[in-house]
Amino acid sequence: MDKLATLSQAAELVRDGDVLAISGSFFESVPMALIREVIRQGKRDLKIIVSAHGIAVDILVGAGCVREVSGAYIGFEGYGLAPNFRRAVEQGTLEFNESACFAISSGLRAAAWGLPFLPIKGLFGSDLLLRHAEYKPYTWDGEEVMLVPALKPTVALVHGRRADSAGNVQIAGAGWDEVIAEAADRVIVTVEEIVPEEEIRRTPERTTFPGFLTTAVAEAPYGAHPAGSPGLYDFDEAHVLEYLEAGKTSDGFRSYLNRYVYEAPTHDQYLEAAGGVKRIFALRI
Amino acid sequence: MMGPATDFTPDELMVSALAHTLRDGERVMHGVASMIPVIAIQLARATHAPGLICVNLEGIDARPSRYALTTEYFALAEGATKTSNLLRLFEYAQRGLIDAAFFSGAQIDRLGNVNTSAIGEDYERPKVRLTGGAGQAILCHTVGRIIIWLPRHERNRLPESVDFITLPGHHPNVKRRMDRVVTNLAVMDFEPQSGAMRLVSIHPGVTIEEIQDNTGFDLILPDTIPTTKPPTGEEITLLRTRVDPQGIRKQGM
Repeated sequence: MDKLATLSQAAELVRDGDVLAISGSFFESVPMALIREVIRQGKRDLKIIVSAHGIAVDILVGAGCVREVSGAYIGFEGYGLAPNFRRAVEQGTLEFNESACFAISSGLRAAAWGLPFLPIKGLFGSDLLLRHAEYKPYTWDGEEVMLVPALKPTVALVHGRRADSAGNVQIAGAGWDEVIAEAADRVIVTVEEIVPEEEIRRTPERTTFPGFLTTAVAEAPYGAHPAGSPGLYDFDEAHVLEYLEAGKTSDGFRSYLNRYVYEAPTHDQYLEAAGGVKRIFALRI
Repeated sequence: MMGPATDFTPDELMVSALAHTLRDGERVMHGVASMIPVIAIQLARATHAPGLICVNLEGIDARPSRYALTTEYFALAEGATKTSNLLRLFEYAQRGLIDAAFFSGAQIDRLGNVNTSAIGEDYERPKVRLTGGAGQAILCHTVGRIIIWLPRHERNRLPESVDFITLPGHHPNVKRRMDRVVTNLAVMDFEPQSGAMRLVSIHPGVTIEEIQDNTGFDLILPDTIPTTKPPTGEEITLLRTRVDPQGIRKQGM
């Protein structure tokens, strides 16, 4: 079955109020082209489930698309705090449902396996438990574990290395991405390159998830920018710093969004705005 | 073997002090935004612990040639024996395969509780919304021992009690050990009976008054206070020429 879509058609599959899981983490394999298109289309009231993430969550929050974030770490690592996320939580306009990485990924794993919960070790003694009545301690054979309920995203947004038109997707080094694709009702994918079916069949050991999980797949070369794509291109450190500088104020961030999202209505125009061929090619690994 | 170095910077002292907490043959992990421990692990591997194995978000036992201020960086998988990812790291820890872990936070208190969540009395409307602790609340139960690194030893970063416990220092269910706290001024550990933080050594050139002035509670003091073993000449040479010629450790402070 043909799953090919344009970037704009792919983003249209996201509905207001959806629960989104997002691929990648801080600066690799983040579906940024797709996220920019979601912003352009003015989606609202999204709930986000991530483990450790940065710019993907921050830009959606800054653009006013998000009602609630479930996550374990939202930030830019050594580059700084997430400016829009931080401002929204401090001003009380965003609900942050804080948890820990493995509690969230295990909730998604439970959904991926069709289970109501999974047991994990940990969390005892943390104030995070005061905020999660749904986590239940359970003793099995003298060992106390914590039961974490399934977390079910309605949509997974994924950026991969390559796929065929049937949506068989290959991603380099992706543990989290595979789980969110298995857990979500709808899986919306962008890839660096659409390849012929024979190319996938020649390298099945590289396939992260099969086409029957994929709802739509669009080609978006450099679609992770300003994040990177493992084996292809590095993240754009200068652009990340520019983002953080702009994000210091709401007005500054509004200018950033105008320049890179609203006034660059296609992915090609975004890449031009972000420095064009020369700058983008300099990121190749 | 060269003797102690005479010329070193605060980041080099901290990297060296953290490297000294590791033993040969251990499996060690570090958190996100952790360039100081990343370099400390590679320094330990290049000196006294050649069999030390680093497990992180990108790879296992890698030989990185360069760094950025992120732990999700392709170069952290260069020369690895296996690629890794967020889930894999946690699964190994759940199984008890990680001996030591480096964590940091915005606050650490007298009993070793760490806050990486929010500063202020009202968690719902915090003065500063921090990043969150990533895996700390889980990993603190599943790794063998924890080494806290804190580049700025200041009163508000070492309060009597933290605003929010992301990582519990001591808890009846917690089997692992709070091992060391290494700051830019001193090395601390925890008294077994009380669980309270105790001074182990002060860094060269630092006075005990300076440490007390910059700590928000009364540290337990030993009868005599030794000086932290300074980096060796060999360590400084290796750091500057082979382990971290790029100097990412300076930005990690």
